[in-house]
Amino acid sequence: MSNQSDQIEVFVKMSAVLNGFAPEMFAPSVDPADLKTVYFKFIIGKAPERFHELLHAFSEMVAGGVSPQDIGAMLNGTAGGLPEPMVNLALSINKLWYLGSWYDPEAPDDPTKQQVVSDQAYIRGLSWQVMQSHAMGNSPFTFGYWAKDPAASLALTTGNPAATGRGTS
Amino acid sequence: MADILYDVVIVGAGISGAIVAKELAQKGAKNILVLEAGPETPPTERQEYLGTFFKNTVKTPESPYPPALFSDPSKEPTPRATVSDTFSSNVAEGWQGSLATDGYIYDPAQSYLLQKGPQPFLSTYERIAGGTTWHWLGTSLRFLKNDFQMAATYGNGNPDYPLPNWPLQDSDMLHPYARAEAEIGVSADVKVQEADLGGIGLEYSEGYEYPMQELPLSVVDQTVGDFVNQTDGYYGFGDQSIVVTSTPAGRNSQPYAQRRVCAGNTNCIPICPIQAKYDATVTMSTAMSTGNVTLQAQSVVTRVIAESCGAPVTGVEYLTWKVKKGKLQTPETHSARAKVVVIAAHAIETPKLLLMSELGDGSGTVANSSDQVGRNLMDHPLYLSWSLMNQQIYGFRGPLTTSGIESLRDGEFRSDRAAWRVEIGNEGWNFSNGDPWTTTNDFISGTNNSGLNNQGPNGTPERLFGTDLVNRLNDAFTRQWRMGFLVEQTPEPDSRVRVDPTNGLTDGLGLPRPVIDYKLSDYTRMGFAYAEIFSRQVYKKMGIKNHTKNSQTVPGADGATVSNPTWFENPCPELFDNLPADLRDPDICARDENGVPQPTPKGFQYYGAGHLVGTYRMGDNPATSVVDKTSRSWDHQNLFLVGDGVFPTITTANPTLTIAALAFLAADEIANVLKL
Repeated sequence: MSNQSDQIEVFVKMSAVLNGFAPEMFAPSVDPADLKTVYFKFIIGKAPERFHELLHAFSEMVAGGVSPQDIGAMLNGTAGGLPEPMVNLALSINKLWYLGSWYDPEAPDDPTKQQVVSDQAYIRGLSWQVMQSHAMGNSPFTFGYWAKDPAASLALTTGNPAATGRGTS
Repeated sequence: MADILYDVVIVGAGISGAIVAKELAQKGAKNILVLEAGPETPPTERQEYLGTFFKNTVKTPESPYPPALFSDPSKEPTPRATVSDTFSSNVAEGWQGSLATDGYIYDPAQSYLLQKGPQPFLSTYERIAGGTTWHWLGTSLRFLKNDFQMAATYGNGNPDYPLPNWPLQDSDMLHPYARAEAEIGVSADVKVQEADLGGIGLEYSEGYEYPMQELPLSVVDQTVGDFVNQTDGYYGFGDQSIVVTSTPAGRNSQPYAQRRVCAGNTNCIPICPIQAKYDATVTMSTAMSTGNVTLQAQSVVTRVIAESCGAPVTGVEYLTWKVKKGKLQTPETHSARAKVVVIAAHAIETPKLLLMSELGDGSGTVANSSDQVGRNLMDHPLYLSWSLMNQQIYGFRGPLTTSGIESLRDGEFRSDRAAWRVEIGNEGWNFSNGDPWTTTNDFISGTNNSGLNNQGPNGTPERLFGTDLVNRLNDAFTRQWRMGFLVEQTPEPDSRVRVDPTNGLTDGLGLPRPVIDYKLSDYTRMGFAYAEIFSRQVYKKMGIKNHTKNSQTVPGADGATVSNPTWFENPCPELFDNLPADLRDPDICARDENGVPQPTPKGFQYYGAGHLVGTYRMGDNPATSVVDKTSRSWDHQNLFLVGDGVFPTITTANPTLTIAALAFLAADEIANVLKL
């Protein structure tokens, strides 16, 4: 990995494996808020060496032909293979995309170490998208929309054709 | 300012203060001074508050507003109660034993209110211009006929019956309610309300129409109604019909009063980003546009001045405060003289102020010859019951609530136990479970604080990513829903607001902080028992599991496990022991802190509804009440105590509409006093 834009590209690809959304949904090319860069720099500020190690490990797995499913299982620690601190960082990165909040990788339950990165980070948290709604306090919809089911399917909302709208339960 | 004789000095710029100011200014009072304790409003108030909310890690009702959450109440000029004061981690081991001595339930270094229990008071308020209507829900229900006459209707001559009559009848309130609905801008349909609630005493004047059409029911409401609506009664509820009814709401269903239509931001609490929901700054702006009203912020009234019981009040003393470079400056002392003084500082700050106000002749405190000031503090202790619907119902959309089950708000059972209304939430498990944060964290980290992450081998939690994470979160969030039972609490003389200068605990201005004694009676607790029995029947009809948790213990300070202060024992276990077998099915029963279903619950957990009521009750008798039916002090003919504190009972309706209606009645009487 050479320059920052290459690294951000790797960061986005790794994030997509973790969060299950298509990159164009959470890191679009035209993006005034540019969350991918904001988050990239934010994580560098929190854990520079470990973040680079994580991105490097991800790149190595991709280059080695490991499937996205197996990569994800290693990143989130369910398959083993990566050191625990690196897994913890990957989990915090996934929460960052979903909630716009930073959870300290080594103390995720400590409320004094949590931080909302920015108002845009809160508003664009993927949790709101995955529930086919909007951030509380930031509705793009109009009067009465709540009386009908969401117009957009989950697959459309996430850019993930395998998102069927129901879990395994 | 001491040289000016104001027509009226009003203490507090919330909804009551704003309505009185506007009414009197429009009727010709020329110089009205409104003293607001809280800070100057920022120039871009709503955007600034909204930005604070977005960036706050804690999204409680107070999170957008000053002072910041977790600030030290002993250093703030205008601290107030916050939900974060009552987080369980604030509770020390052995807290119950310490109450008899110098202890409090919540650490005074975090909690402005000094809570002496035995139960904590859980509702909160704002000290800013606009008051708590900044974070109110908007629900605008009228009281029912019998709400005003509980002792007469259900007391059966029993002198111990806990609920007194009001000095008003429902017929006295029809016109004031209409004025309040016009001021707030209420959206509802009279025909719908009358069809569902006419039989239990909801009334309107002939030909009355609400200012705006009703808001549409959410998908959640429609689905719940499909399952629960039934005309021949539920077990334990006689033959009373059960029906989901659209909730009259102080939010715009069409452009009104130069404000926008609701866009369903799902954020009425803590802040509507577009002011489609009414707040009292609307009314205060109208008041100030007359040129007759001056609003002075950062002015904390410390004394209402009267020589003796029976003498008129002559004015108020107050402190003004400033912060320079982050440091609170030494406050300045002022006084203001007035023909009429109005205290509009709600059920906690109003009695605090009165109890701080010594009469000039040393015979006691202002307005308190009845010894009722501060007593009978009430809330709607809230029973939350939450579940997952079998089909997707898409919560987290629309206003926070658009419907409720109102048809059990009155009935013969009120002789024996508390009534309630059921608020149906549109915010999934946001209130009950802290979602989307809790469940998202669970599925990413492999924890199970939500109770939903239990589909691994032998019910163990899973750690998910990618498509599985998307699908499982979607499945959870789009099926979540909850009911909130607003239980009618009885007035208790020993549930009260006190001041106790000997404890040495003050705010940043050196003023004493409210000491709160509070308890829930058996009459109130029985309301919870029946709320649980009702919930079970709802879940049975839906074929779904009850996910409610009533936690007897919680994590406390310093890693200890402590008794949960918001949990109380089941008042009647035998009621549950004797239920039909199908209502003891574990799947439909609320659970304990370990997630184990409780066919006979050990106890129940309650939440605050944000409804602060009582503490300067109105009545017909000066010996047993503080004000008359116009909110006028029995002791001082030119002192008016307006707002939620005048309620003799809390009923089952959210209080703001009635607060506003009573403020109109008070304003009419003040106009008579001033000969306007």
